[in-house]
Amino acid sequence: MKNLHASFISFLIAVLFSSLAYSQAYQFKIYGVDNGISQPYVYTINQDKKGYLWAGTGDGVCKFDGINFKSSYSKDGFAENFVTCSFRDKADNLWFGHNQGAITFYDGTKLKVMNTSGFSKSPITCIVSDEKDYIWCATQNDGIFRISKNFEVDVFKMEFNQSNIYALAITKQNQLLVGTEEGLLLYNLEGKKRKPVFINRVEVIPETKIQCIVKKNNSENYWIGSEEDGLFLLSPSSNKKNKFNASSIGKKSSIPLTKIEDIYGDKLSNLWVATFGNGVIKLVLSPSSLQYEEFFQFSEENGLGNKYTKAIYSDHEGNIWIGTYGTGLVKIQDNCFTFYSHDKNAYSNSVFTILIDEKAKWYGVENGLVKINLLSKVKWEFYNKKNGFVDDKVTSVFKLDANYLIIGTNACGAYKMDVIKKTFTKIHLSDDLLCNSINSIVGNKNIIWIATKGGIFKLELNEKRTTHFTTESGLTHNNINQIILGSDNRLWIATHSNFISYIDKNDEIINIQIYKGTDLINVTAILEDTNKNIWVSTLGNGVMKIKDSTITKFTVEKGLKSNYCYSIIEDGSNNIWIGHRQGLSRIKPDNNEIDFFDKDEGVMGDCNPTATFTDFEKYTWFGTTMGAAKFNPHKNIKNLSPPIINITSLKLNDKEIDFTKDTILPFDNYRLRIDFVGITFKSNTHVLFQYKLEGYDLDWSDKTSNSFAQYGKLIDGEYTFLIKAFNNDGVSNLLPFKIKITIAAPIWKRTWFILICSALLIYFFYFFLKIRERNHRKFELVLQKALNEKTREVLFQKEEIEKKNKDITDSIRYAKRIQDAILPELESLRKILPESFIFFQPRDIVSGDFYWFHKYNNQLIVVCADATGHGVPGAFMSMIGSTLLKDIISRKGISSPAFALALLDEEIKILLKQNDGEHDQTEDGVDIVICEIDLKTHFVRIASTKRPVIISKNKEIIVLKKDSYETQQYETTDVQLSKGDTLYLFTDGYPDQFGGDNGQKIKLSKIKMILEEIQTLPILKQEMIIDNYFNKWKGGNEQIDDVLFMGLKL
Amino acid sequence: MRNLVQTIFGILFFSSRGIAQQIPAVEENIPFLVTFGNEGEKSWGDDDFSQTYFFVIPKFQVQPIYIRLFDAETSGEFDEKKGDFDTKTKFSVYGGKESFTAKDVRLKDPGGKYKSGNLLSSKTFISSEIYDGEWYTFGPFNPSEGELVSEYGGYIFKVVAEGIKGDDGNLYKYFLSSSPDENNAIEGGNAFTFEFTFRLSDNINDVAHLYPYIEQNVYSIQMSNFDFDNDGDLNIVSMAKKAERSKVSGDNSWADTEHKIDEKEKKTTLDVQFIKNKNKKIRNNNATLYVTNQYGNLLPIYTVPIGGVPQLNNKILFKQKKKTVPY
Repeated sequence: MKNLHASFISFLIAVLFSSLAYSQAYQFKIYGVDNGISQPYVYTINQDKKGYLWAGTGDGVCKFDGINFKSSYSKDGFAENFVTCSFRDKADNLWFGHNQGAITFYDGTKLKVMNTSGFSKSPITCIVSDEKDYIWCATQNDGIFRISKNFEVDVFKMEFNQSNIYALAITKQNQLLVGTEEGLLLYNLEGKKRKPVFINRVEVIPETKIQCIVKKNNSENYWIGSEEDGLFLLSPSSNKKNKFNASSIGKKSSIPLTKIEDIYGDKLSNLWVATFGNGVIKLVLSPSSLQYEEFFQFSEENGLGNKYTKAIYSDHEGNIWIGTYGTGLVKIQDNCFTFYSHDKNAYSNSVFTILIDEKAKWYGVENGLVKINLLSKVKWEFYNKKNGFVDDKVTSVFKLDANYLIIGTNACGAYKMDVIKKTFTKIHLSDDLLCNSINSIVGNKNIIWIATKGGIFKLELNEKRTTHFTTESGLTHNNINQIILGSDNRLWIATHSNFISYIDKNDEIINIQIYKGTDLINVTAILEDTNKNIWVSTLGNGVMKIKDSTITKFTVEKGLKSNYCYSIIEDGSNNIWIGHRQGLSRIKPDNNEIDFFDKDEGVMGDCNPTATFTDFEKYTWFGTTMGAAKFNPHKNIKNLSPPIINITSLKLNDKEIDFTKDTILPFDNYRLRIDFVGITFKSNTHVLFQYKLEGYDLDWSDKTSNSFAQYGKLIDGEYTFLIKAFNNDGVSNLLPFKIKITIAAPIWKRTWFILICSALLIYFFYFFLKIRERNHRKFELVLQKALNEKTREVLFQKEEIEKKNKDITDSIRYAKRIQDAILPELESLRKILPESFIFFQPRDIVSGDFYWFHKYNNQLIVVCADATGHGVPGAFMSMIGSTLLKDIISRKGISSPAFALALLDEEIKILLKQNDGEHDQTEDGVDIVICEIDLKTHFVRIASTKRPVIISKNKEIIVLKKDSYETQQYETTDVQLSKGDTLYLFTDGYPDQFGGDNGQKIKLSKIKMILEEIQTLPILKQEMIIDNYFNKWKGGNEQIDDVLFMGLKL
Repeated sequence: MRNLVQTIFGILFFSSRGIAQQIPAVEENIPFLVTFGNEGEKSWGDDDFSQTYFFVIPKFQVQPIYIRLFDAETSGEFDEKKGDFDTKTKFSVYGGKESFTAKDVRLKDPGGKYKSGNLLSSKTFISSEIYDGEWYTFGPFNPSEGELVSEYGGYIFKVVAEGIKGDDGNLYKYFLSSSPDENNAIEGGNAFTFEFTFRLSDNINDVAHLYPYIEQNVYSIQMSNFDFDNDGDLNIVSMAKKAERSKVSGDNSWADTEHKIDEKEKKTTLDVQFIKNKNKKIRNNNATLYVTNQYGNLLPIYTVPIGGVPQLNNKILFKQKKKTVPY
């Protein structure tokens, strides 16, 4: 009886839960009044050329940029608040039809209202364009009117005989297909005015209310949506004019296609049908049969929020938008996640563990175990205390084999479940409470590992042996968060410590330190990936990848959604997934890129610890507090559409300015703020921006989610603001969005101003020059006058001077004649010493240098003298010296040249009164060399004051030089020369002459060198060389002194 | 004028609170509205085979509204059979510009552009078990798809019932609802007509009440009734009239009676009472009534809410309800 009772309860539960679907929830993003939409009745959806989505409602038009709605009304420029339909023409302008027959035109910048009050009062039901770009507007009760490019209107009302028109299309044959209450009508466009002329009703379509006509992609066929009779594909007959073929869609498959309001055919030729009462029906084209056999219905039951829909639209990214009648605008999130949940009143939606095989899905939830049969009729089974299990959180499920599961609970320990018999057997581990709190179970046919809050149990089934591993065995913590079986039969352990551990095949516990901080980290989950890298997730410390001894850390800074990680798993593409609260992160190990998935992708719940699973189809499952989420990698397609960038505001000095055209501003210092938006309707909160103000910034900014840029101070110049926007997959537009801002140069920087200033400057300079020149001329005249006077005076003085100079020169010349007369003839010397020369070159007309020679007996006295000074004073001194020498030499008792020299000194002092203390002392004197040459013996005695004597003897040059000129003792140097030896005497005028390449003196050394070279030459040749050398050395320099150079060859 | 509007709106709103919006109202003691197929005989009570009703939705209503129709088809126990059931009745809901304000809408007999406005929904019913004794729902309708007529306090939807085929009598009821599946009154909503074709109760003790509204500028009215089959009395009760008698029409005929309007009766509703003759015991009697003012203009007869004999209180002020979100 008891068993019968239990069976009955089980039956009741099975029946009860079989009616409850653990239903797949399509993901919808609903934008209602709370999100900023003006009215929840959306009649039409469109997208303008700038990427904004427009939703026409019964009370205003809502413009959507992916984040915010902005509502516009008649006061903002629309013809009416109530929008019934819209159309985007070939030039990407938008046309809005209104409820009372008005039309609003929008070119992307401005609104223009068409005045239709005279002929159109009923709702605009449809707008289309023809091949000539005329816009055709169908009204419900007032026929059709046509708008030309110049906004001229032609009205065709009578032609439609008061039919209620709901849809319109223009065929390639230039015919009108008109959807009315009485079916589909065909009109020709005839005459110049292309006036519609009724041909016939399209009989292949039932006489029913036609609500929409939509051209099939890339064909001449049309989808015809009716109110009562479903959906038709209308194709023109190939052989009969004005005839069509029609096929009914979906009738055989009992697809609920009634009250069709709108149709959209996607790129894959699937049809999306908006219905009024059955939600949106997606008809999937079978690739094999090319028929619409399968369909999905999006309605209130699976999250659409409203079964009454008016419009369906696909934006530039392929997102499907639905205009609902009462719930607002809805986007279908056809993303890579599928979410499974159920009526939470039945039991908790929080999934703590997942196990999926070909036959069933098992979910461990807050109060028991859920089984969803995939093959049997009874879909649902729920196990708790009522059917032999426990009312406890199921934290782990391990499939031992086809018949048995090992189930871990939060507080009631582990159970072995016979899947066939649906019975549960408690596995006794320990009496300790913590040991009965199971966190994780893994194993194989022979060994089961059970991780608890009180350590790890190893159950060896064959040996029926249980081993308990705790901190005493070497574990770093008893609370084991997760265990996994890795390669080499290692049992990897995640626990609350700075270590990860494993138990090897010998049951040895190996601890590996992964964190060296002083605090303790909590490793929540562990994973060994395909490449045998170990990954761990932590609470607060992100994720770590351990490869060999290298640890790579992934944190929020690197892109992780949160550092608090609860689960980790590898998907079929070797990506690593991390579960967080309200989101997931994905690490791509190839490049360590991280992206994350959150509410935009529908991940709303918190990921439960270690609640992950990879099923036999390689789908990755996550258990969350809001049901189970399945990741389908095949649907995870990269979004290649970059966000469409628009400037939303441009403020200069906090003042809004028009940014629709290039901005040109007068000169000032401007604060600039530019607000922009990157329109993407997929993961719009993940848009990142990079911008650069050319002319100001050198580099692009870092990527930022801030949708504005600010600049403090802009001076004059040309700036180009460039923006790039990146979508969730990092795709950005190839060419950045540009806006030019020109701040005019100040007046002083402008070309014309510079030219004028330059011209003025040149003019002023010219003027100044002219004035100056005039003044100069005046001054010049004055000067000229003065100069003339001075010149006359100077000329007069010059004449005077020249006259005086001539007189002086004449005097001096005369004095020279006297001096010359005093100096002995060279010929006289050559008679005595034929091989001799005298190079005598006074500085002025008269010379201070003089020579003298006298022969008595066999003695030849030769004097080479340099009187103090030169010119006239030198001449005087030379005259004195010469006269005194003659006198001294002629005296008897002159025993030596030195004695003669001493006498000469004495005589000069007396003569020049140099010893008289009463008179001014003069330094006048004579540098002199006196040689006494014995012409027979060639014995030479030489006395010299300050002057050296050079002797060429046996081709050797000997310099006789007094060591000190300070001593006033005159000495005679005796030299025995030979025949052919040469004496060279010279005054200081020769060695002291400046010249040569460096302006130096000739010096004695150079004279010695010259004489060494020329001593063997004939004496006249030597004279010529000495002469040439001197004058060449002197060059352009002034001769500094009188020059006397004597060569006497014995 | 403004006071008038406020008063009308005030009365209607105040009176409507907590009252189901069934047409005809329970308090009217009228079981059904009646529209015959256009091949029927007028002597059966319907003078024009058409009936137009107006539903007023307050401006502040944002949630969708539904117009529910009971026993829309013509067969079964509720409808009036003549030979076989062969009647088609077309119900059309109109909104938008001029759906109410067009001149032809206020004509006694359907004609001209009485179907003015935007056709929002329509359905033709033939004999069908599906709808027999069941509710059919028109809608949802966005309230702003009605015609906004401030004088009447909101958006007006027009429902035209036409007998387009057959000769049977289609008996039906309306309910202005906020739900597609059940009858939930819309707060502040009301309904009226200018000509009322209805089925009188078979119970000789039941008194049917109709409530034409007397506007400020009305000095006299003409009460016109059709095909009452002399089945009793037609009295007017008001603040100034205790039981002023009107002429009662006979079979397939009109009876017109002029009544002077007292000052006290202005901006009030009259209580027009159809009092059956307890001796005749006539069953399945259908009749038509309309009321015009001194200029011959039709006056609205409110069925929802029931006006009764109002005690006016001009001091009552009404604050507009805040907009709500449907879901």
